[in-house]
Amino acid sequence: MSIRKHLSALAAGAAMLTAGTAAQAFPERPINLVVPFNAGGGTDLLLRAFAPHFAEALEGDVFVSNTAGGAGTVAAGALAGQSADGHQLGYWSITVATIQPQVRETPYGLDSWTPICSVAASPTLFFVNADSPFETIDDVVAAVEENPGQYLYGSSGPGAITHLTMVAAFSGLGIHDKVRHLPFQGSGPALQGMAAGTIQFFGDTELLMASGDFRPLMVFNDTRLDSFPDVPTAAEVGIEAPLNELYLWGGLFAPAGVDPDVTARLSDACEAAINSEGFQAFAERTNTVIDFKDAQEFDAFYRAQYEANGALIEAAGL
Amino acid sequence: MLALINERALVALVLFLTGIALLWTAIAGGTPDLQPAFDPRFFPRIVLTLWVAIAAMELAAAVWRREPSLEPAAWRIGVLVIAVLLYAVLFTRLGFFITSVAFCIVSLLVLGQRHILTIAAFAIGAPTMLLILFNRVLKMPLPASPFFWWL
Amino acid sequence: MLDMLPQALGLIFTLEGIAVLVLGTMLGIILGALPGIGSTVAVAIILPFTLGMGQIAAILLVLAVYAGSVYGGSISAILINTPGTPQSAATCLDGYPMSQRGEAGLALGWATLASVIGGIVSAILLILAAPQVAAFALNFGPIETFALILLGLTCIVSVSEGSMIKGLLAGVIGIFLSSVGGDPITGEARFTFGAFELLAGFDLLAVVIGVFALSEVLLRASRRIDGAALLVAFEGIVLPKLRAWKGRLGVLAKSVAIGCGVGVLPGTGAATAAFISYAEARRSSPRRENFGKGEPDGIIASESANNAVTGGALVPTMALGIPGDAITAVMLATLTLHGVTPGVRLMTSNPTLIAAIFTGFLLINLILLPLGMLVSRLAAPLLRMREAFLMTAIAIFCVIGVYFVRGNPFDLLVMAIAGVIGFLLRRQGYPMAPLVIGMVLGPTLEMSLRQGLIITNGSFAAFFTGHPIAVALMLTALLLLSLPVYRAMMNRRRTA
Repeated sequence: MSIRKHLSALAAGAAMLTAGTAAQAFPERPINLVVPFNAGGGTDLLLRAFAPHFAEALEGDVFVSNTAGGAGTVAAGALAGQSADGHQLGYWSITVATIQPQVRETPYGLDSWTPICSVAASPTLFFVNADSPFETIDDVVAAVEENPGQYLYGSSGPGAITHLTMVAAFSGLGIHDKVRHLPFQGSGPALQGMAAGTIQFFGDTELLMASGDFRPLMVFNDTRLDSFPDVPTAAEVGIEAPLNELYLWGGLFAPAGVDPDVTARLSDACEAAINSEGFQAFAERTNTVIDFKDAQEFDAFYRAQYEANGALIEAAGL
Repeated sequence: MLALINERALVALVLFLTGIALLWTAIAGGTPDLQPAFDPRFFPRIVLTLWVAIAAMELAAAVWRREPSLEPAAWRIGVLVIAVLLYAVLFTRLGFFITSVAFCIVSLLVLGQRHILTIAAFAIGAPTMLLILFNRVLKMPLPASPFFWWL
Repeated sequence: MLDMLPQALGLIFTLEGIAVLVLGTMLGIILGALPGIGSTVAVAIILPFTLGMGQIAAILLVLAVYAGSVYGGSISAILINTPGTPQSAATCLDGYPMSQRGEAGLALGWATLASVIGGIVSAILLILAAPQVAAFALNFGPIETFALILLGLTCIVSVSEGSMIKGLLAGVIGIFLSSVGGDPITGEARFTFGAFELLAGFDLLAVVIGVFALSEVLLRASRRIDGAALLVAFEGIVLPKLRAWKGRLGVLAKSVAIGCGVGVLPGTGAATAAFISYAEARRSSPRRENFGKGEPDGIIASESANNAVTGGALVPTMALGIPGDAITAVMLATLTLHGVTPGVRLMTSNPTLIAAIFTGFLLINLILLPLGMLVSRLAAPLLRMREAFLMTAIAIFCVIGVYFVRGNPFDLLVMAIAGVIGFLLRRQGYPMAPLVIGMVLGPTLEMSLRQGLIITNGSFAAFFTGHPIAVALMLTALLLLSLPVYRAMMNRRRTA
């Protein structure tokens, strides 16, 4: 940030004090994007690649900061109480926004946010080891029915998207009480547990699955994936809504009560940033599945997800 | 009785009582018939039992041996402790620059510096350099103050 | 792998490649040497700069900063007794006493050579046998991990020789601190007493920086400060003479092996390796009587092991796509960002790239020696600062370092309180190394124990059947535990 920019921002701030509405002067100071995880993780990289294009679209400054801990709830809890002037935005995933507030005491909930835009969404897949005897979901159901209580499924932690994927799968197939859950600390150790044969089933996004020798058996998407045309969707193998679709999505949220003009401004800037060449190239390199929704769409989607995941959480017994 | 209370015994006593209190919450709060693997208090109960047992041994040793007590820490350590605590708490609220300047001044005075110009130069110079380093060069912004967002 | 070498060297030896190696290593050493700022923060600082770089340059930069910062941590540990990271905490135990004796330059010389050798051996391991080693690491399920951690915990006993009860108590407190927060199996809150902030648990780095670095500032302030006296006499690194190595090669070899081994295994890391290796040297070195009083063997053990971890930890990261610790997780993200998917297919699909990365890592470890000497020469004048200014600066770095790890205001409070409690405990002679060991190993101990119980359907006995590696590890732990007791009894008999 140059001195000149400083001065112009100062001037803009002064102008705002004398004249009128928030939206005209917005942004009056640098915008802070809060990453609820450590620097260097997948979410952090996504936001750091997104920030410069977002700044360009807003014609202002944007900086990224990290607040980690409590599976993302520490950052969200801190942001929930901040002033709703639109200068502080958080990037919350499905877990932070809709799952954690329903499984533990968090200082925020459904109505703490003004959803701004959704950025990415990847469907999760149910997979097994490449050398495992299970070729289809029917094989899995048959084996579990034959030996109830013998098979273990993994997760990256209680209440994580990986856990809900497994719960959705086994509840949807009606055999949830015949498999056991073995949580790990993160997806990495869980994938290692898969490779070593400690657990038999795991569910995560395509990106994670690509790191090992795994075989997908179904995908929690509304259509089959281009990359795995032979893998059926959850609905095709008989899992009914709302358990048949599960996405690891994430988007920008501001504290509740942001001025509608400012929300619209941010949402437009978000769209422009997502469509920028630089961000598209980033998404291609990292296999990020971009999924833009504007403020209104995202608001409706977020509330629907909150409800639907509540049902899943109940099934998981959390 | 008074002779038994030396600093070592006092520290041991505080650790022992803390252990007892924590162990009590770990035993009282749990549901009894959970399998160990699914009982959140299973592991802490083992650890806290060890804590209480070892602390009791240390307490006994401290009272038994009755070592000559250390010379009490100087008053300035109390001031420094409070300064450090306030610095940590206010760092994110009032911003890096204001709190760091204040902490430098207090810390240098407590540590026996009396030359006002040197103190002022360090208290303003060091935080300014760090601010430039992190905010401008490394692009990892330090917390800003609510009064002046550019500091 | 070796046949790819020419192409790999071609990729590295570009202007950008060499610049990145030198500058990255240098920056890593400097950041690592700043008290309070460790590898995690160093790598996080550098990551955004790699966004615009080429694939090889970006990966080499992160690697260089990583290896440099692990080494750099030993500089502040030895000179001012304030390790920036848990992994150099063990280096303090003998490095700082050596400094106080006026042999700071020599202590750093041992640390530098040990680091370089540890790093190089692990790099060679990485080049020659990554896939095979990674496959072996898969044998470590939760039950084996549990046994390994038990073995690791026995080093509390050898680290606290002389003040056994206090050391054990500090270790237990460390394990307890690590269990505060959300339960890893059920997600239920433990010991949070309704405080939302505690749900995330105590951050290891906040506690380590508090009890080691901040409490050091308070301890010094509590003593009479001599305004004119130098903190430590240091003019630059003094390399130990060749014949001084006589009788120390065994310690070195064993420590490097421990470092590589621990680095490869999941759920552990550089701090664990440094402590286990230090404890093992203290148990078996011919000069074990001098440990804790400034014995070079202690520095060699800790520094060669923690640098050997850097290469070891890359094995599962590259070969399986599974990060060994928080730092290799960042490495993994960097790779992904630049269009490389680490994992089982990487070795076969892009061997030139892998060869370039591994060779680059070897080169980084080679230039650690000259760059380390350069940086400590540059840092020497800083140590001539008056103690009051140096201590104030350390306190500021502690706060900044902890702030950047998670950006969590609560962590700062934790660090400050840990500093005050650490000060009170250290005044009474409680060693702080066991507390750190407990906090590092605690979460994995509990997690692997309870995971094991889930696998065996709640049976402890099943831990011993069908897990030969686990049984062997537990027997070794038992042996190591009984050894000091046996030794103490023999001593008593001799004196009686």
